[in-house]
Amino acid sequence: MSLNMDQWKVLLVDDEEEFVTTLAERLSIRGIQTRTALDGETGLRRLAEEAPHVLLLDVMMPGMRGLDVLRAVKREHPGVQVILLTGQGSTKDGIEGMKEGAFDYMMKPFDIDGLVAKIGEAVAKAAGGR
Amino acid sequence: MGAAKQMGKVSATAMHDMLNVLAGIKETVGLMEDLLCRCKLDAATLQTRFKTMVPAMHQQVAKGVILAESLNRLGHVVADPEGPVDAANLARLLVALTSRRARMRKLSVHVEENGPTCAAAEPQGLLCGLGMVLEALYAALPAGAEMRLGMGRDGESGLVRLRCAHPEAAASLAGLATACAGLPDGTALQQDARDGGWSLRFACAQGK
Repeated sequence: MSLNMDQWKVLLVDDEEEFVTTLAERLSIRGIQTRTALDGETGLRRLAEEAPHVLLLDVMMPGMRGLDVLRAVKREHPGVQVILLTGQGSTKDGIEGMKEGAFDYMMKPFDIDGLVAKIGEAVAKAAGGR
Repeated sequence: MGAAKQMGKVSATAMHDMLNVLAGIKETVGLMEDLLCRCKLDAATLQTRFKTMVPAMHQQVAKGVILAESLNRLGHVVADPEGPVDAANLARLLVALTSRRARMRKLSVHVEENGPTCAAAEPQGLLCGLGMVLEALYAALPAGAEMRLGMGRDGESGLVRLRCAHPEAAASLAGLATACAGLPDGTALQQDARDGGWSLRFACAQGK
């Protein structure tokens, strides 16, 4: 099942507030339905309220770490596709995350067009599985 | 742990922070571009939006400058192992560059301003020792704790005094000495019998 961009549902979870609000607005300008959370625990609550197609998830956050959030999502909502966002110079966490079931990872700072393309691929996979 | 390895760990943490700063600036500039090119906003609305975005970018740039300057100054400490270095200043650099590690554990760490200070005879030893101690503190302290670092003297030795008023701090730091095993020569961790606080002892430069 192919979805139009304005049907894509994204949840963005990252502790950098400025980054979150700005990126969420940029995705919304492109028609993508975007909700946000500033920590892993809130992210999981938002996800339980309404499952998105794609979760954009920061790896390194205070409190619940990104990889722990990923494991919880894959356990409770296996159809949600997770794209990890990392500011780490090393790809270690991204690769570790993909072993745990993440769809892919992107290193900050990234290009918005690249991110939207990656979200599109993840949405196609999520929608195909529903 | 050698100075090079400690420097590598500190640099990696600081660069992680820097990449987040750059990501913030990139998205803000990108949003300005989106508002100009993709959204049909009138001039007044654009001006209002930009007025809030420009200060946010200045803030991000200021954060980046602090990280870059601190890393640059710490690099000089490692590159010039001979010269004595102000211990309080070195502590401030280490705390600034590893602040992300503290934030991850919801800790706040401050180096006291205007306190006594002294020059470390072996800057690399103090860098490695204090780096190891900070790392152990970040791992052990309970979330929400506030740690204060102050400088002191004890004869020919300098002290970095580590104090935390959190009610669970004493229990959390019971294993601090074990976690800091292998401190570099010339540095030692000791517990103050009077208040139970910890200090890192280091050799002072003569007369400084």
